[in-house]
Amino acid sequence: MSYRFAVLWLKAFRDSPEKVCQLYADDFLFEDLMLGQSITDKADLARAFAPYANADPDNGIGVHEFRIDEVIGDENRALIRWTWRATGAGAFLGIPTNGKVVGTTGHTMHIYEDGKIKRESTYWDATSVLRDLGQPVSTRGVTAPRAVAPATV
Amino acid sequence: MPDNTDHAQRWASLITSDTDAVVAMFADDLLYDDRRDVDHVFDTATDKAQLRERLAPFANTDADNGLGIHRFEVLDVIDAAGLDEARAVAILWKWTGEHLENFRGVPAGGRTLSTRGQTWHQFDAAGKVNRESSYWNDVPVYQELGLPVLTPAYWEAGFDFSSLAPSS
Repeated sequence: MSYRFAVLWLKAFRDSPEKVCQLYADDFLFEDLMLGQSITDKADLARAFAPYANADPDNGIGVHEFRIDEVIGDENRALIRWTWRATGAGAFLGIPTNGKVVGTTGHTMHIYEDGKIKRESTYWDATSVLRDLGQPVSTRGVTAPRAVAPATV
Repeated sequence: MPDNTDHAQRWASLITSDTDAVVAMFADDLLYDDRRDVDHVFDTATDKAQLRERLAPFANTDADNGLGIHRFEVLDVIDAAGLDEARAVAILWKWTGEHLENFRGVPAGGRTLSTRGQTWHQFDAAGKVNRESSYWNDVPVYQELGLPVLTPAYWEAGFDFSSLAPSS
């Protein structure tokens, strides 16, 4: 669909899980395998999106901000490239943030049917987040030599 | 009409067997994003020399040099749409790496690793790939290699959020 639809999609993340679910077809497949999510049920989908609607910067869930970088596609399918960051998240992927703002980029493939998201496949870069949180990982390719964790994070 | 499944199979095969041939699938004015970090210098290849540097390790055939022996299997092919109605495709794939000394800097000890990823290709009028956007699911590999990375199934009914509290 359009850049506008993609913005509405991300704004729905911030609004409520119910708003997000309205954008998906009744019969859908949502996959974010980085988080282990392969979801076909609206109740599960609502729970998956719930953290993104958090507005309290002090409860540890984090305030999650997204921006659309690029949308390439047509009314039937689109690749959406986006940037995310979270402030106030106590941990990410189980790693304590120690108050750091965390963020990364990703891309999402959408297939649409009758104006709704029929299929979603999202992948994003976990490695740069883990690096920023002090894990000994390298962002210099799959075969990069051994990385050393920074002394302080 | 070129077949996107054929393209995906050819790409997945050549990337681990013939670097010259896989680089030849791309246009000279290519834009290749393998993930995106804060800087384009490493993450975005903009010519074939840079692309070759990024892809060559996947065609390694020496099981003893630490670079690993790699395999890509196409799981699904989604017909996509590029800019200005250009042909495009999304390829969902499974990667397996054997004999790796490290995976993204984490010691792998030569064990066999596997995960999935998603690659989007856009083609120019000559049928060459002029854009790529790729991301890997690194998370299960890091879990396999012992990093303290957690992915609790918080979206499942009845999930106990107290399980996320640090143990003392």
